[in-house]
Amino acid sequence: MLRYLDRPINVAVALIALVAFAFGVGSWKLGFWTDDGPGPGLLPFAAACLLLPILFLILREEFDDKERFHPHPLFAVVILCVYATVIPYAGFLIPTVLLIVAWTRLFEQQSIVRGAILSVLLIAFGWVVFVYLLKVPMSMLPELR
Amino acid sequence: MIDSLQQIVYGLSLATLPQNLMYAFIGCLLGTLVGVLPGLGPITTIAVLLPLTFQAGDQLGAIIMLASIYYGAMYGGSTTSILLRVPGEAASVITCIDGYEMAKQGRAGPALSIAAIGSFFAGTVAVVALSFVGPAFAKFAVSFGPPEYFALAVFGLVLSATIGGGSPARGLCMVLLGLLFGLVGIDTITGVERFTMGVPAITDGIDLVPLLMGLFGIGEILYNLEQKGGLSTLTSKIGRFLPNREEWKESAGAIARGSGLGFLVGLIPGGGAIIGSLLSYTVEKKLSKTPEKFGHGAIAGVAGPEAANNAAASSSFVPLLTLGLPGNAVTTVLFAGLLIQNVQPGPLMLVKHPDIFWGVIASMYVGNVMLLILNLPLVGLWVQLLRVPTWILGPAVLLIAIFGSYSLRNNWSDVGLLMVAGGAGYLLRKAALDAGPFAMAFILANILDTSLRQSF
Amino acid sequence: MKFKRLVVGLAAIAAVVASSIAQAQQYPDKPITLIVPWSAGGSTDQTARVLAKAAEAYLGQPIIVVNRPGASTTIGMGELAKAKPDGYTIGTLSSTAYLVSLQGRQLPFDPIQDFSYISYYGDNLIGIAVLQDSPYKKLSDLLDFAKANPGKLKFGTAGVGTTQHLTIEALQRDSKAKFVHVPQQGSAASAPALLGSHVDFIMETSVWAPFIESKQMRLLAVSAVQRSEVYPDVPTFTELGFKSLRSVQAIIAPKDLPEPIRAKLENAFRKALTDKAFQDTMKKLAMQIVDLPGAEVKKLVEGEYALAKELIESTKK
Repeated sequence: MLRYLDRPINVAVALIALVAFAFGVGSWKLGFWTDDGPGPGLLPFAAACLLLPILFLILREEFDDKERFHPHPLFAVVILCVYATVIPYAGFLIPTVLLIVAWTRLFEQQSIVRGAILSVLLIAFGWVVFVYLLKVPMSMLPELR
Repeated sequence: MIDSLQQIVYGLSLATLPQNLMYAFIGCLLGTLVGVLPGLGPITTIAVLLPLTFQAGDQLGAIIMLASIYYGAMYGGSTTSILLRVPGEAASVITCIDGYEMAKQGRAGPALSIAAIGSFFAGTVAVVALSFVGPAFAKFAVSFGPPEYFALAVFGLVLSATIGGGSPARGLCMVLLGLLFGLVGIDTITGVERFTMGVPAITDGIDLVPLLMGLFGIGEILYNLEQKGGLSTLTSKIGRFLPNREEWKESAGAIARGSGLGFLVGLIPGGGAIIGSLLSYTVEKKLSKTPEKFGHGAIAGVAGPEAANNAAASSSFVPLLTLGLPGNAVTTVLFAGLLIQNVQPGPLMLVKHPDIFWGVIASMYVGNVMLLILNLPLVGLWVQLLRVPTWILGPAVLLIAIFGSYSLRNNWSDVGLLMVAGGAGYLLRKAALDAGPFAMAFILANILDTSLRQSF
Repeated sequence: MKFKRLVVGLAAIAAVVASSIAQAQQYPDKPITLIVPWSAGGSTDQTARVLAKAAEAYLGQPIIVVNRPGASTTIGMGELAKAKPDGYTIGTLSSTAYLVSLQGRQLPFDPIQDFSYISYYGDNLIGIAVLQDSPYKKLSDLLDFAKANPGKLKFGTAGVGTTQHLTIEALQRDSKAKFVHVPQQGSAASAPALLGSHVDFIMETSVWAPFIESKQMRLLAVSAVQRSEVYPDVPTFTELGFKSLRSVQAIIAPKDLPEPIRAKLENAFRKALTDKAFQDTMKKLAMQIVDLPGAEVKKLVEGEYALAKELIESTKK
């Protein structure tokens, strides 16, 4: 089983099948037909149903597949998702500095000082363009209530 | 004909007034910059500048500036698509496919140059067509009803399965998946929510810009974390800046056809630059003697779509100015800009504000020249981006994408979407599934569904 | 013992009242945020910005407009409902905000009771437009044809459950005429649908305005409190004996806003209605300025909501 999941295409196909199934169930509930013509569920249901045999075809396809998962990107995805979850509560500044320092330290083997300097420069640039010039309202620090 | 010429001369006399030249230049410069920055598009920029133009006394100048931001962004959008596989503008997503491959082969210079030259040619062709036959084309725009949109969407979907380099089954799989995700959100016909699971951030549908930036840009950054050195492997070979003779030959026809296609599609409300570039890409692939090169750095796959999205951006001014119909999100904001300046776009625009109409059109001639002059020398500068070490470039792209996603709706949930799309982009890249067909189907999904059901 | 408690209690109440009065007297001592739940550049955004600019003069503090678009205003409205009712976060209310809750959508807030009402500022002019060369000269022509040929006439609106759509539902219910609804993707898409004869008439906000002027379209009736200054010849639905919904534009705040602060804001925003730039913007967008005190805005909104609910229920039968 684990060896099977080592091939990215297998993981992708499994996930897509899951997504197709979820969409299929969702569109079933929406209804296929109304008094005035096709209902909101018809097209997505058709697409979801068509997907399944195609996924089967893809699995059977022969192709030169040397790709295997690498721990760095997977770890990075986790970090990015945590970042996106935390940022609405913790404000922009602190999580972003931590993100960039962690990123440069873990994945690019740079020193923490370098990462910190880079994060300050990048945030300053973004702040000038988006917050100062374009007046995008953005909470930099956690909002105290 | 003579009449039109007189009008254009009149327009040019207005557009070349020093202050209007200055407005056009500022607009072109801003447009190029926001086009280059991923996530920051002409919509945000024009919307932010609207209140400022309100105070500016110069009616024509303000409108020239807003318009030049729009077509300037179309020039700049290709830069990061080619260099980093991050679409700077949604319409440049097609350019990622072959442009980035070219950059990997050390042909970033020719790719960027041909994008600028193609954009210039297409922009100019579109403006000429606009000035001579523009108002007559307005009728074509409204003749598009649900059955025509349906046909367009089906045609587009069939074509999109063939873009990218994978097998037909893989292309079709991505098309169907794109269709499903494109239908998330409120259904136009019945008003019910589809597949939103009660999450307010996606009731209007999944936002295109963070999705594309995630799938392409963040996905690529993640992919590059695997290779030691990653992007910096490119730096060894930057090569020429300008296309060689063979590349010229391959792209000349593509640019001409792309201009024509883009012009027509841009006239249709809801058509827009992105569908224009999709059509152009697939047409070029079909016509090419070497279709196998597409997806692996075919210069025609950069030249055609870039020409098409520029022509479409220019021709979308026809329905906007002569019918008062904003055909896409950017022209909707421009529409608001015109209203703020007390100009009501519509059938009487030519009668009531000939100065604005011809002034803006003529400024587009001037603007295109400015953009070419601005962009060609920049090619040398942009290519240097590839020399920036990965440990700086990766976080930089990441951060700009975060700022850009947030600024679309001032909402952190779009940053969440960016990250999820990034993870998905990485997985698809690893599984050799192409995100291009996904993106196209995602865009066409609602047109397809709504037009099908409106036809009943 | 009991007495002591009473004294403490009274003192506490007095302290709260005193501090809220003091707060109101100082109010506003910092900039005020105005949440617009629509994208920048739309009609609400444009009008709210000019109105806010004019109201600043009466408040002595800047008003910062923040766009929080998405999910047919529910993202912005949700944020406003959650904000502290201290007068430093206020927002705009459009009829869409409470109409969406009738579409069977679960909202994390009550679209009417979770807000305090500051003032009203105007109505979008909504009207039925047909092509200039169509045989229908009056609203009654259209209704007579539809009664004789039920389901033959198609009409376009900005979408299901919008003010535009529900007003036509009211018309169908009260006149017994039958039309077919072809929802469009937003108001802007309605005009080309009519121009290309893909629908027979549209019920829309001012998207028809330029075509009325160029004599390509004709207005048959408008939904408005009184006849529009710009189109004095076009009758209102009320005159013709039909109900119509209002396309509300108002200024609101989170619920439990202290009354002195609310009154201060109401005063400023109602005075701002006389501002020249604001009046010009409203005219350009074919919107009518309406001045109402906050208390009446709430009543009006409740009435509109009840009518919309009734209409939606009647269409389901």
